Amino acid sequence: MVFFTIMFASILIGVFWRYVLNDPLIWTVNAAAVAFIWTVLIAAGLPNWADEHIQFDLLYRRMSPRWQRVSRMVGNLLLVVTFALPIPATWDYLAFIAPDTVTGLPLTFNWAFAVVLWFLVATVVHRGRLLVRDVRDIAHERADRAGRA
Amino acid sequence: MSIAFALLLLVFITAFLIRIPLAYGMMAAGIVYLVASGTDLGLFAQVTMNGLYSKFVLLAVPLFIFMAQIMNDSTVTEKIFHFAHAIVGRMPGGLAQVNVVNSVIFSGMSGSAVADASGTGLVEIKAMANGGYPKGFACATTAATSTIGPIIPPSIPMVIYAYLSATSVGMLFAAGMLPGLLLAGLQMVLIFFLAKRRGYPREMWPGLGQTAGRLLVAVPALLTPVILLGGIYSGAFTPTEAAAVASMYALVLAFIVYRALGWSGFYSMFQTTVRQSATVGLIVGGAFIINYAVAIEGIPRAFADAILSLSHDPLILLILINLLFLVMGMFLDTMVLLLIMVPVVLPIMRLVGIDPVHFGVVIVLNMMIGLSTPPFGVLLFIVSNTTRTALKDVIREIWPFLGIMLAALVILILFPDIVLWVPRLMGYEG
Repeated sequence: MVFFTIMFASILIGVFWRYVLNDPLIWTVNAAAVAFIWTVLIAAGLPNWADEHIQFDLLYRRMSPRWQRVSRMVGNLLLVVTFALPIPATWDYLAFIAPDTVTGLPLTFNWAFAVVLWFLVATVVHRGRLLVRDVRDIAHERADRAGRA
Repeated sequence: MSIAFALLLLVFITAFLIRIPLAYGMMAAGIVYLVASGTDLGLFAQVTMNGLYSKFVLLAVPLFIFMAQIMNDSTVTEKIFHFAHAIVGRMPGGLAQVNVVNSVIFSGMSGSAVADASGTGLVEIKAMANGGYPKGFACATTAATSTIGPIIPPSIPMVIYAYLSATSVGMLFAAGMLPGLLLAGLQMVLIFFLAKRRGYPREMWPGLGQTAGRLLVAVPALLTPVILLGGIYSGAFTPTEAAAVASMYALVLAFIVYRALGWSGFYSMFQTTVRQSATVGLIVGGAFIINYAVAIEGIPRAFADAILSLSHDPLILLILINLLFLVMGMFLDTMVLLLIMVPVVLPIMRLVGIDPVHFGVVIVLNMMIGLSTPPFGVLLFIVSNTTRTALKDVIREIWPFLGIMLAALVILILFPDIVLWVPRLMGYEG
């Protein structure tokens, strides 16, 4: 919410300075754009945000609980693997753009874009925990069955 | 098609079917493409970050979401509803007609059909259910009328289309005015006949004094689109700045003029705005990486060759592409459809001489049909879930409205002047 406020305020400040003070500012547009990226990716990495997404669940709802779990595990495994893969290269990319500064701001691009690392790592951790939870459930169920037998 | 792109499609479709959120599915598919094509994986961050950073016009999207949220949470929408009630409540099917007019007015403050259906839509459904209308009909009417939102400016899909097609947001907004009113008019005619046949009631007219009073209360809210569009068309603001200024005005209305929003409400409204903005922003980010792969693979060219082998007639091609969007819209999220398919089909439309502003409005209306079409009609899910109405009751009642929307689509395809008349008055040379 902090970054959304920065985005909103930066745009209004830009308008105010241009029309009321007759002194156009350069930094407001870039500050708003960086704040927009941080708004999106910080929120997207939060674990309690998962239910907000648009997803197609007509097939999922028709599956038995067992197949729903298989489907969840496949999905979470896919996300853990695919989102973990670009982390090292993203680190290198951020190091590569480190000398570049955002116009009008005392901010380098590696910090402006660093939130993408948070998003990738947070997604891997969150999806990894969901995957581990399903694996544990299977292990418990097997242990229960073995105990009853 | 390369093996890498086939893998992208496989991952995207699998992710979609096993309920991975669409934005994540797109990103996962994009990353698989980069791996399979041997491309540096740093490109993932480069493409998505630069895409989100460099498109200032996209910042209008969270601000339009913010503005609609303020209007919904501060009972401004109820004041508009009371005003609409005084104007058209006396017609046959009065409350359903109010629903249409309410959506037309709200659409001048909101760029999202979902904001209409989940906000002012609840007021509309409750009023109609209390007024003796079947709940399924009330929900279907609300789902259908909320599609007017993104056609009459402002419009979130049009902002995204403008970025995809390098078309003027202002001209697209102008182009949506008449089609939005046409759709509203057709819906009112349909409701008139349904009300006559089914015996739906009319509302009592509150009298001239009451009507004038409701108008006075609603006037500050009715000025919002004037500020927004006036700012854009006078050249004073960019669309993003206009969205910020109009949101600021909406805050002033909510806190000072109507005194309808407290700090606790403000906090939750802010949270909802951020969540919805992040949802859209992430889908846009996911689309950047898919679009990168689509461009590298030369898919637009291959698609153009395939479709041009069927016909070179602009009208037939426009109809074919609309049919494609209609079918895909039944299953795919319309925002994903817009972000991925428009870059593929737009070059063909330009090649055969279809005006990009005309095409944009047609495609946005097409998307709105997709939002209301089973099995993946997001608006149907929203009105059904929020009012605890059986989805089958909503679906049963939506068909006549879908027929009307299809009729509007056909009219807009056949008569581009309806779309382009207002932009031309403003100097558009299309």
